[in-house]
Amino acid sequence: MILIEPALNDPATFEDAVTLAGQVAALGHPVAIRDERLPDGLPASQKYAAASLLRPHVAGPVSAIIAIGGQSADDVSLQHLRRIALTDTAPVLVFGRFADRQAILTASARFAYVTGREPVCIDLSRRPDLSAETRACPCFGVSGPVASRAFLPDSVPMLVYLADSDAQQRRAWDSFAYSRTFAPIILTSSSKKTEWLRGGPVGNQIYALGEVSPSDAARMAGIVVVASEIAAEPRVMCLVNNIAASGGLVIDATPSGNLSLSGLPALRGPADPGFLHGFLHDTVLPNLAGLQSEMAASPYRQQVELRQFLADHGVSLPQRPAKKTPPKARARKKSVLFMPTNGVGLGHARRCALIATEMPAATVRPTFAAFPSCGPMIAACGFDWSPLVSKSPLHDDRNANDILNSGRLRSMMAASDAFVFDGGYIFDSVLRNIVRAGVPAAWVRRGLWPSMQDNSVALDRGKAFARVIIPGEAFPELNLRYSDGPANFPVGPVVQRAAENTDAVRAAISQRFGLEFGKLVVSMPGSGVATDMSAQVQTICSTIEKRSDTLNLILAWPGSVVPPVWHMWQRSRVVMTSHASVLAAASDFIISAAGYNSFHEAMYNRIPAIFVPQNAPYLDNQTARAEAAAARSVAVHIEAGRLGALEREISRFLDHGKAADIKGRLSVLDLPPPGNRDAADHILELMP
Amino acid sequence: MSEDRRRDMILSISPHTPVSLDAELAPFDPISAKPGKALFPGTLGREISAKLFEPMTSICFGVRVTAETTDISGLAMKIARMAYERDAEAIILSHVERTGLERFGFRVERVAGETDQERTECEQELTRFWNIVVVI
Repeated sequence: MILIEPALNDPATFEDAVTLAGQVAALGHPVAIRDERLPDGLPASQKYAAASLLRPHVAGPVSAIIAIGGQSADDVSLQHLRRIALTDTAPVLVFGRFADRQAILTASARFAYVTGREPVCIDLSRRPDLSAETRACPCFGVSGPVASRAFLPDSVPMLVYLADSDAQQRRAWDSFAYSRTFAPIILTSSSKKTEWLRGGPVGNQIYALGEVSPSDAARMAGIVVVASEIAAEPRVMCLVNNIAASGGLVIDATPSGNLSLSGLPALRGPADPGFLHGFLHDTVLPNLAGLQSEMAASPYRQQVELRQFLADHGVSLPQRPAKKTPPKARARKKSVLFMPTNGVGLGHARRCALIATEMPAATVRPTFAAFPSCGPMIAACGFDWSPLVSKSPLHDDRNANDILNSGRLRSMMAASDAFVFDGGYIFDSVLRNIVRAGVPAAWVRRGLWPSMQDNSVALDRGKAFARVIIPGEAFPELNLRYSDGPANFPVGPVVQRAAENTDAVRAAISQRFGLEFGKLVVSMPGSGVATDMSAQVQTICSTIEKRSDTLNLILAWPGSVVPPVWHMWQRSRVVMTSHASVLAAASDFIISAAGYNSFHEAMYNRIPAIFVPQNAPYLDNQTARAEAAAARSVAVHIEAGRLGALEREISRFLDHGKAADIKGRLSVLDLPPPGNRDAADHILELMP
Repeated sequence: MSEDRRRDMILSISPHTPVSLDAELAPFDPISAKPGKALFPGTLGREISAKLFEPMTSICFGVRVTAETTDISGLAMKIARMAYERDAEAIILSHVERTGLERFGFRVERVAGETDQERTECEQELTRFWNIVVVI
């Protein structure tokens, strides 16, 4: 293991240590940073990057120490280094910005004293090829295959570093989105990215520097256009050196044209982005092979290569075990990882399970990463699952759970051939792991987003997905378009069709409770997190309590809090099940929120329904769904606060044949064909 | 968690339990299958640092649940009482599919894994996340 030691305890040095450690990890070498060096108040974006590199304990012998900020190492750092067990040949490499020869000698003596061996001190101020201005990070490059991944057919992916930009420059880059030749991937600061997105839809992919590591970015393209001065930005310098070390092409489009002063064999391009397209198209593309050969032959490539640097100092990379090729007869199944985002409800998880069920069991193994409330339902469908951790109100960092989940997703994606996300908000952990793993990904994106919701972040993060699968709504006016593009794949509604044998289900329920009933009502108040439906449930129980021929089953969502008073009614029972669709289909009618699954099961399984939509800023527009059904007279819509109307409608359904009338209309309702199989096929097509 | 919230939790505890209809309904569910397993994805040899999750606004203690119990309201009252008295948050570390404690508002984390070692690793990761010192 290589220990990276931020010798100065400040956020900038720690960030540099994370950048360097990430580069070492990209080589496949075990690497660690002691977690005692984690500074307070570190931004979440850096915690994601650091999580897999921090160690509470540095166990086992260390094969090299690389200290950064060595010109003024603090005593705490030195004291700890004294306790590190080094292998016999382990070098101690100290990077710093040393004022003079005396400063180097002083640092050398201090590190020699605590580690027991002579350190190698490297002055970054004399290595412009490894240095980003005043920062402590040595910006080595890691070689890899030159990326040719294209998001659009036949287009050339191209990384563009743009630290600052005015509206005119942004427009010039936006115009590249109409190019069939180039597919720019913009890298900028988080604040500039936000500013860019606020200006309206962005045709190009745009990443904040904190969202993607230099090694992950380098896998996206074989060309990088540096359109801003690199200044104090080690991550960009590492990226440039990654591309250079890989034999890719670096184009210097900075205003100063100074990039080549570091020795980098960069091709000078126009600083004005308005002229870049012509330059790239007419000058670069026709000569691309020759330019890349020139870069590949440059001595700079070896000069900045991290692997070479470590080898020169006696640190060799561990041998990776050769991959065993399984015999054909035992070829492993393709693994598809699903991640639904329900915290308490089940909608996303159920939809994923329905899609997974359509995949051929003989050749595909769907697995799930899911929040605990969804686990029993997923398991009941026959799928293995791994638990995630829900958001925590007790942690100051609101991303704390997502940082933990990111590690779990990383492990799971490493063993997956495709990844499927179903949810409205794409977590940082999801975006980062898709980019890191390079696994083909699909976003199942249900529609009817709230009209007041700012969708720019969600739509921007959609860039990480090769396909966006859009399950339709039952009624055409509800199918709103949120984005266009070749990655969008609309399918019919994803819905579970229930079994026909409802009499047998009712008999089983009757036997279970030892109760005779002529009419069965199923109340589905949801999780209670978005909207507290306790008052509505009490109204339903009260209305049905007087009817000796009716049984009301209150379906408690897994993980939801159940008020004890619900258990007190004689003609109502609180139940739970992973097979809610079967229960609903056996009822005379349901009283339910108008979430995607409940609503479509009611329509497709011809179940009369009283919809009481839930309203919350982060929920889908359930009112629109309920209204659309009510306008066709195939359901009733009641606002949550109208308890009297709810009572009257229950009476109409039970006593005045309204449930039967609606069932009759539902039986002739024309609906689009379900899209379960199409959604599964679109995902399967992603896998080679 | 506020004192009011802890009192509400105690007030929600009762001996009544929702009736599971899984046995009755599963035979009629076309997508019902032999149950899948809860797996721990592993840490790829990387022990996560508790420092990533600091600071927290409350002190937590862990309650390991390894089997379903018939006296769920009794167990719930014991845990809620401890949390109330100590002004601390109970984190349920569940080795079973459903503890029954969820419906009273307890925070329940699923401890997954096929082997004892995997379950231990999973539980250790959760104790670091919640900064749990004591597990009962």
